[in-house]
Amino acid sequence: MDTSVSLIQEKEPAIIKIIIIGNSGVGKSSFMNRYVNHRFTNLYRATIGMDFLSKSETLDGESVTVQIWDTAGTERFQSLGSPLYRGTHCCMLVFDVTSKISFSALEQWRKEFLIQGEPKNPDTFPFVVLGNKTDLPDREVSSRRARQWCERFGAEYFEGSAKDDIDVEKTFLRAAHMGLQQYKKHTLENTGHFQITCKQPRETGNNCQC
Amino acid sequence: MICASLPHLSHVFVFRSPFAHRVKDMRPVEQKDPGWKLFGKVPPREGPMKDPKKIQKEYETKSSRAGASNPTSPRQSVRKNLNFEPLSTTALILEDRPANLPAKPAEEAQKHRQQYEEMVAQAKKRELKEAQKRRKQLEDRCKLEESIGSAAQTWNQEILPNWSSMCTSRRVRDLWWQGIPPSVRGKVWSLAVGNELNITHELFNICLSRAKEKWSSSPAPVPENDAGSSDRESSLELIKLDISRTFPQLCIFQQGGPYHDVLHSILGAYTCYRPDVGYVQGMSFIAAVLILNLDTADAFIAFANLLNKPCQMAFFRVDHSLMLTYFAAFEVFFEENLPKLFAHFKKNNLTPDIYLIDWIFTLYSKSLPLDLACRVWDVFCRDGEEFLFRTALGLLRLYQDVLTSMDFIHMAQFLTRLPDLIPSEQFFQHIASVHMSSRNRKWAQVLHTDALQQGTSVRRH
Repeated sequence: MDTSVSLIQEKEPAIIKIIIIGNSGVGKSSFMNRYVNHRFTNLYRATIGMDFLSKSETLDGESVTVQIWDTAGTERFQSLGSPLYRGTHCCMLVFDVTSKISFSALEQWRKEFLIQGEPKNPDTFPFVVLGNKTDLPDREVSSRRARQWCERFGAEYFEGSAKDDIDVEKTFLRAAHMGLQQYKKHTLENTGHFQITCKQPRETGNNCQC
Repeated sequence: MICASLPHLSHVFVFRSPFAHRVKDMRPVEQKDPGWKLFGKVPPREGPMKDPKKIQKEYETKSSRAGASNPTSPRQSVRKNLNFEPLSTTALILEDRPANLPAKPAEEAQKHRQQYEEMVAQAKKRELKEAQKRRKQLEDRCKLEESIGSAAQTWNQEILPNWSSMCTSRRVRDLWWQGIPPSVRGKVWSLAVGNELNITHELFNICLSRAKEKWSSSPAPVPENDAGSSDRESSLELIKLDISRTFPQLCIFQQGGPYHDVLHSILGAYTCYRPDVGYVQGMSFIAAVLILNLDTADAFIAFANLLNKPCQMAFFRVDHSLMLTYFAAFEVFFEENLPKLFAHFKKNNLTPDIYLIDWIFTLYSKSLPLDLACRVWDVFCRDGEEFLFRTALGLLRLYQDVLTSMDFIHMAQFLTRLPDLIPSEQFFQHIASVHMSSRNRKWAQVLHTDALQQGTSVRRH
């Protein structure tokens, strides 16, 4: 029985944790729902605390479970962040292309994430920046400006629309991909000595999730 | 199935008929060529839609012919005995073999008739049972309505006029547990929440006009480098955004809806009444539930007093250490009541903040169906903050088996999006079965011991 259990454990897909942060009302939940449930509605309720969804994906022939943690966008709830931010593999910073305020808030959101999430590699930690609501006419933040900001710290920039289903999947797949790299790196860094003595890198990797 | 075991019984389906499928299945044998056209340019629906009708018609003409020659056809007698609309199974008709085939031997015919009658009798029995069930449901609903009516009378005529002397009596508490009738709900909530803050209608009006002044002096655009750090200043923006996201499915709080301005007024007035607290997400849901049960000014009074309760203050001020104290106390009772599930949560690193934040901030109004949430509010008004945590344990207890089979993410998903249909009586039975004492310590004692250990202080009621 023991062997079969360990076999199953070894085959279990990697869990990639993506956290979505950004100002209230930029469409974090909508984007997540579009990706996982392929749906959009104008009847969203405000997210209080956290919201969760997950999806199985195959990345480079490897099956992974993408865990998406959707947060409330108010500053007041930021202080609750630390336990929620920890163990993240990729951070998605979302703003609304029709709101300069939501864009300039990203700097603060990013800092807050690095402080509270305490990633081991703050300089190379993967960030995806997403400009949502490109379906709306009154745009306030240009792609060029957003891209410039992203270049400063090596984040990848995407823009799209949860409402019109533009580039939602692409953004999440890229985030999952970057998350998987982070996951592997994290696993290797922490379990290097284990790999020599016992060949169960995946299993020890799972333990690192905690 | 029935058809296979009993040949020569033709079916007349009164409701939805699986005929189309059957015909489709038979097609390749009967008419090979048209069958292939299903995949060609012929509209796929045309074939199978037409055929069953044609076949049915053929059968009907045949059977009427056969019926004429056979006056003992049971069709009419069966119909006569039915005092309700027959469902598909009772519309089974016993037929003789088509005229072009040799007739059945008498013995076989007799056997088929007997089987037929048994089937019809069984179906009738089943339908009768269902009819009785429906009647019972109707009776139950009438009874429920009656009991709500009589309860409303009791509340109006006996309890409310003698509130202070009666509100703690055993009888009233029992009646209270069963849910307050909607017609008196607002009054009972108001009385139970009280007005420790001594807010008058005048004070509400003053706060409201101050809020309106602020709104009309259109706020200067926030300087970019300042954004994100001025959450309290941008309360007004946030209120606007959240109002449209409060019970969106009810379509009454949204722009242009009948309660949009009322909700706006209460939240705005509150930010003027308590600028130190301001607007925090979750408040819009609480205010909305109060608005559904009380007039504007009274809703505001109840709102401000409700938020002034120690647990609500701790959460809405996002006093993190105090919130952790509440979570720790909750976990004491969680472990005590549901040790297996507690261990499962621990193993999966599922901490209470993940689900409790939403439940406590909105007092369950976002996560539970509104009628259930109101019943939770009823007893919350009676028992205080302890009941919010007891409700959480009741929910976990109700879904214990489902949750134990899930991993972290599925539990988190489940708890942050509870099922749409929650069996209310069962749910309240589970809440009732939760013991709110741990080693002879009650909720308040556990909470204050924890608070002392953590160096925080919880204001007593």
